[in-house]
Amino acid sequence: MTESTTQADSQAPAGEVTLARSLERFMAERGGDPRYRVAHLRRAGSGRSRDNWLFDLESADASLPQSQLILRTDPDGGLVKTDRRVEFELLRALEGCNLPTPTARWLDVEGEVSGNPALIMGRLPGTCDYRVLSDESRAVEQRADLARKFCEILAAIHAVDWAAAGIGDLLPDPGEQAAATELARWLAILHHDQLEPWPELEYAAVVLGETAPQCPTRVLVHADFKPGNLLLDDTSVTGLLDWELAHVGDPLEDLGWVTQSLRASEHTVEGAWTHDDLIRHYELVTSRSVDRSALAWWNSFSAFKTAVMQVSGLRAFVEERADDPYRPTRRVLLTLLDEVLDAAHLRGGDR
Amino acid sequence: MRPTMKEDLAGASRLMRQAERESGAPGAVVELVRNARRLVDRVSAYADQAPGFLTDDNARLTCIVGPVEGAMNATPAELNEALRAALVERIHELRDSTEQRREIGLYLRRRVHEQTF
Repeated sequence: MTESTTQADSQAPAGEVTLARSLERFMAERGGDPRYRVAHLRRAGSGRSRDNWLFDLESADASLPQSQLILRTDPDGGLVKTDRRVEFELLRALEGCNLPTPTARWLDVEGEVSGNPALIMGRLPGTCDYRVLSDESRAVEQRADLARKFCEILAAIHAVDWAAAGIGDLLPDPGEQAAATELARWLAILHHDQLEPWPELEYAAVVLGETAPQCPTRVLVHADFKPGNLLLDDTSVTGLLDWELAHVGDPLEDLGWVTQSLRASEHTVEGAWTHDDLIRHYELVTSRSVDRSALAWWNSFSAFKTAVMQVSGLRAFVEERADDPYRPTRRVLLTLLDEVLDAAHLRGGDR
Repeated sequence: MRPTMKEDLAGASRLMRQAERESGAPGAVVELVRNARRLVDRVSAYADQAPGFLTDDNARLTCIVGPVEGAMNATPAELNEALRAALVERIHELRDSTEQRREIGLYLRRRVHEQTF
């Protein structure tokens, strides 16, 4: 990488220039072509659990192709601590799996570039729109078609032969106890991050623990599947992002996440695509029938997980690691309690 | 003494709403101001509603879990936290599906519903 200062550098904030030079140094030391330099570095906004920086690799030699890359770092206030090395290796393993995942280029596990662990990945075309399915500038039919495509991508994730791709070495198979394993994982996060007792969440965890379904089939679970983690180029899905929570588990976990009532506005199209449509289409594409009772458990688990994320966010805010004042909201807590009370009542009525 | 705390908080909220509407303000700044204003609004609601809420909730919780140590010298908020910690223990003790556990679930739901600040 060249160390020369350019006109663009002189106009960029000092922090960005430092970051660009640090990126160049890091990549050059790890086999990157030293004729390239970092250009057009800019922040892509801060998600709930990542800081993203977009940049291009350019060279004065016009015969060398340009690369569009993204640096994804852990911000200090990330909601959930995840392992960058696992995410990097998973993206590498997924490269041959016919999913629109970004190409993982470099892993900065020690935070040499920005001070925090980071991934450097290829940048995919397209834009992200959390609310695309409720975007009234698009025709209802087009939105329903998009929703169908999203469902098919979810089915494609679940069709990945994770054992053959070597993902089982990276993400252990929890076996038939996948539901109980995930519940234990998020309960541990709650206990680690809570600033005060949360009997609402403990109550939910007890009921969920007693009613956890067996998981006969395990697949690669994305664990945060939503339009906000997809890139779109008009009506084409060009990217599938944010694999940090991915694991091997029950396919109903993802299906429960996208059909939970708290996220209905993100995954349904009024009058054209309901949760039932989504489930039926998923069954059609996967040739697998969905156990509605088990799915209801995963819906409740999704509300629990959302509440725990909010507890973690509250801690991050109080500790000045985040600027968004998260807290478990009434809507999330009432949804969770309604669902587990129903589950507890039904089971109690049987005895 | 004027302005009262409530008047000060209402004033701060009003000024921040103006800042949110300021044309040309960077989106990131507007977001920070909006978050700050929401916190001010929450403090205002808390000051109004928390004392009565905590008194009622502490009475209900004491009925469920019994008295806790140090209750006499605790503030209502401290007592509430101690009682909620005791409730967590009780929830884990009631491992089976008992009527008492269902009552606790209904109490928790009602509490969330009633806590509007």
